Amino acid sequence: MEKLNSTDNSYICEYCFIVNNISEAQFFINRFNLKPKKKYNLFPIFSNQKKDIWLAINQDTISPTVIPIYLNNCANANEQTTWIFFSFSFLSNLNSPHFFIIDEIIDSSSKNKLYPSVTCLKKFQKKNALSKEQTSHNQEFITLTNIYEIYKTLEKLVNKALIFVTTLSMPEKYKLLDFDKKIIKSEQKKYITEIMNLSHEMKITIFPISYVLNFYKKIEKEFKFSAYEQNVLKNLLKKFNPNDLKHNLEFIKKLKNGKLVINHLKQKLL
Amino acid sequence: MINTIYVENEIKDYSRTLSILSKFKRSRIIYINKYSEIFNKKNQSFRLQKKDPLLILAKKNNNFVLKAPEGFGLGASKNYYFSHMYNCIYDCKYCFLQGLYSSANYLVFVNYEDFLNQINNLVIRNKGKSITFFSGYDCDSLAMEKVTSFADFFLKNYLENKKITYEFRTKSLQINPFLKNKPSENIIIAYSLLPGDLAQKFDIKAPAINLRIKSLKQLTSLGWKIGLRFDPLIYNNNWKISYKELISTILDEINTNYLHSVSFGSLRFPKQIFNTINNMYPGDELFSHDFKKKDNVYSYKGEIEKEMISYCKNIIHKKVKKDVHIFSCTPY
Repeated sequence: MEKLNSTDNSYICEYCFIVNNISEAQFFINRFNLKPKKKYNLFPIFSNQKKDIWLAINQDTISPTVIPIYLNNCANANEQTTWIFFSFSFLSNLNSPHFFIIDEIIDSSSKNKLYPSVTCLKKFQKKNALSKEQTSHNQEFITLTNIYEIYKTLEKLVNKALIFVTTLSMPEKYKLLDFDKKIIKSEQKKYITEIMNLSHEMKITIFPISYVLNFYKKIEKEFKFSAYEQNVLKNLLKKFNPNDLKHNLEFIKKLKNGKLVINHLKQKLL
Repeated sequence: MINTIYVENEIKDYSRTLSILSKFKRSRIIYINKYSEIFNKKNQSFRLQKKDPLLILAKKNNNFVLKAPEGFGLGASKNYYFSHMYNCIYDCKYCFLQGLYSSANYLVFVNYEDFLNQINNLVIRNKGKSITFFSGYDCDSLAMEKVTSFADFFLKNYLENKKITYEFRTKSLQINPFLKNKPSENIIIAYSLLPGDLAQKFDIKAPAINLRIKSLKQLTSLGWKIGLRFDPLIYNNNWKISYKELISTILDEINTNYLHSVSFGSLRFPKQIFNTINNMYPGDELFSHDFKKKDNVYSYKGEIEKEMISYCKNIIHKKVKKDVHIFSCTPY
């Protein structure tokens, strides 16, 4: 498929969200100030101004396998993009909304299973989910619309460790009270932010060299370096543990010039 | 704490599976058809999984015992290895396991009996020939003993035969199965050793050298045969002093009457694994010395290798009895 965004490479897509309807999208639209991208008309597509956060809303009329591919192209996503599928669900044994990471997806018709990665997700509660074409009101299991097809496509397309299948499960009630709505928002904010922060940490581990190069770009923007100094800087940075670099960035930004940056890094390596 | 355990459906009712699961009461258990659904997936992040590894319990169906690579042996006419587990709880930077599998999750094969059956078949097929079987090639043979109880099972069931040697290679302090059983002529517990300062830098999560030496002392005091494996020998400015001190300390501590063998091998990597590890640890001190590529293996320059091995061998020769096997390894 042709890259829909192939002419614009001036941004890096950090996060892609997939949801099934506008009510699931609302939190993300408000929180990240996402605007509709009208030039994409197969699915409703949104992004923020920096274009580092993207969202797509699934459509019943189109095969669910298409949405990950379409969003991947629209957002110009790369192997370092975090993918978060979010959906509401219902569970009978809950008293209040509860956030889960899905670690086992069961296709309701074939009974085939998929196992999203749960590495580094210790602090989240996990559950399995049934994947159906339509939302089910079976309250014994979490049921997510078309997640099997969506995940199966995503798994082949992007970095597995950076796909998060999430749900906010609710006790089924005839009508949600304002109080419930507040809890829902705060739970979404809390857990989605945690996942986004965690995925950032994970990327440092998965792509240490990319992290070092990104770090180089950040320093290069702030200071002037001669061609020779640029080489020295690159070689110095390669000797660092990415986590040490992360902790040094704020200090480095406060230094007066490029020479001091290089001296500081040399000192740190001693 | 292992957060999630994947269990193959076929072995979910095995008593050994249930016994292992009983040690992880708070873990989430997910039943799967084949371990490959989790372990063999492409594009997994080894480094990320190493931070938070999961456990997979599975049944191995074939290749229980494999021929050891050329140069890997203790002088027997035939050398084999077996691995009841893939991957290791330690994170030694130079270890070939860093780049061998795409997954860092622990995969334990619970059908231990099948390993012993194939070992016994090989012994029968090679009647009269000396054979060494190595445990601890794709894992550390004792590090997960508290979970797997593999050594405990092995010591209760292995075939005793004068011509056969079994080596358990380890860095672990989990030597309880040996402390509980009578020493055997056929079994060697071999420790991988580095000078303390290097071990601190490169043997991540592995027990400190002084603790490994303490275990060696405990084993020899009970009459168990031990092996010393200085493999890899790692070069730095102080290597002569460091290795001399290490060897002297060990030989002062242990009962050398039970020293079976000593082996040396300099730091070396197959090409693919060298590239993988180098990308995992950009700029790491381990790679700060010149490596030469020869026959698809990256290693120190020939003269450095030779000097390190002959220097260490000389120290050992002077200090141990003549019947102790001393040899160099070239496993790739």
